[in-house]
Amino acid sequence: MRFRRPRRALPGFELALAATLLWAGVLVALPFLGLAGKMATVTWEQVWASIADPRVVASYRISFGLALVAALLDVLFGGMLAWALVRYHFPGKRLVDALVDLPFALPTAVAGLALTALYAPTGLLGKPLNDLFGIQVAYTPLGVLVALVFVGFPFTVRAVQPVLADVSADLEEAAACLGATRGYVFRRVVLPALFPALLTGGALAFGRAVGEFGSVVFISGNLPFRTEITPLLIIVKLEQFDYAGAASIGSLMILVSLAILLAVRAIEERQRRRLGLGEGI
Amino acid sequence: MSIAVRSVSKNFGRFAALHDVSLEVAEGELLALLGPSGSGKTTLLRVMAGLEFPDDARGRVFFHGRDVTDQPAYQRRAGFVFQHYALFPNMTVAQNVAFGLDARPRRHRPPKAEIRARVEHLLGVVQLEGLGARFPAQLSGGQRQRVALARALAIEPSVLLLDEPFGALDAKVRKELRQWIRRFHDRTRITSVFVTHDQEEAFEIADRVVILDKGGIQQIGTAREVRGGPSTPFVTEFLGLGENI
Repeated sequence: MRFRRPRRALPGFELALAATLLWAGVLVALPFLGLAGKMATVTWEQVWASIADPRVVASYRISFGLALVAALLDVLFGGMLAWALVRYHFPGKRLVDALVDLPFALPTAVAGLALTALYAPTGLLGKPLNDLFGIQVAYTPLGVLVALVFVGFPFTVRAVQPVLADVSADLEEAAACLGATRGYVFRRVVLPALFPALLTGGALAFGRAVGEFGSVVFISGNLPFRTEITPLLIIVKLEQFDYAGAASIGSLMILVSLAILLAVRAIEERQRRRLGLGEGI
Repeated sequence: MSIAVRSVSKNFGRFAALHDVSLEVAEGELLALLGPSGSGKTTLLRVMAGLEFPDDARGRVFFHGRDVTDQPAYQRRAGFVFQHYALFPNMTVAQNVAFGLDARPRRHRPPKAEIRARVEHLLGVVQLEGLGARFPAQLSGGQRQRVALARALAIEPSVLLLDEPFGALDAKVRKELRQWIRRFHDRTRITSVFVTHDQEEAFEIADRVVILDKGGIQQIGTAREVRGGPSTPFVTEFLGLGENI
């Protein structure tokens, strides 16, 4: 008997699959292959020496630790901003909505310079913060955090906005008719509905923050063991022609980030299945 | 009088949804609000529930003689059933039904065991025994609407308000559910108001039917009264009685 391809209701499956694989292959997988190729020329001892160097280890704490804190803050503030943009009408709303995307479009180096100028000990915000509260932002881990929050928050705003607009008013009204106060409705009805979007937005913001370079290097001051981020160390290694070291650290970052993003996907998937919504994407 | 609405007007921008509407619903009555879309029937129901408020101070709403006009929905405790069920998707059927009891402040909240028993009982009432652990997405439309009804009944509402309760169901389920609602009402005698645009539905199960058009009440009466003597040309035309005259 001849092999028959299953008939599909939606045309273009083969073409779409081919285009997707080509795209993913050339744009995403190929650079990783290059990295893997580089790794093949390196011995385990060299890898270990690069990734376990105390200065590099300190930078993991800065990059991953601050990225996590930044992602949490992005979820909080991005969620609040999305709420305001969806639920309220106020003058200048369109402008604020457009400004949200600015961190996407702005060259990160420009953002870094602007933030540094603003938060430097002599800057517009930095001076009063320093004089009144004794808080120094620029050239401290706090400064790195400010930059990471800045580049990450559009992700959470844009992830939450459409979902929040979709949470039907019916649900909140139903809860109100059942005697629930606003706070209770928010906790039991609205927040659970937003949870997947907050998680996705937070994961994207985290991923962006881990890899962020341009905006951080200016405001951080790049003090070894204190404000030095991992991507900067990769650049440093490259400038010293230590390609093996750069590739080792880069590979480690990719593996950790990939593991975290996969874990987030698994949580989303479990949530979907728990609610009887099927497999999802 | 179980529910009374006096001189309620409601505008949305320049659209007049209700214009000086007064209506009384008798204790234990099953009343239908019937009219085409845009007639104001849903707005009237939402004003009763406290989900919309009259535009001016002349408009008042009373439950059992008590003025509830200034109470928001969560204080009125009217059972409300939505056309699209509005079940909480992140909660099981049992959690949905228990919501109104769980939401009470601690000192008014029944003990957990009592809530569980009441949920079981209500699921029995709406013939969904054993489905408490399911999520709404795993139920059919008719089942979901019965969960929504059980959830509204859990707070022991003094009145039951239903907004196009059969509107999203297919024809067969629709017929079954509306007869079931009628029998349920005969048993419980909870004062109930439901909104529909389907006259067959209204006349089949309601004690009295209120016909609305363009934000005003055209006629109130039993099926026989309204069909026997339509009071305005609109009612005659809307009910398709033209050829009988």
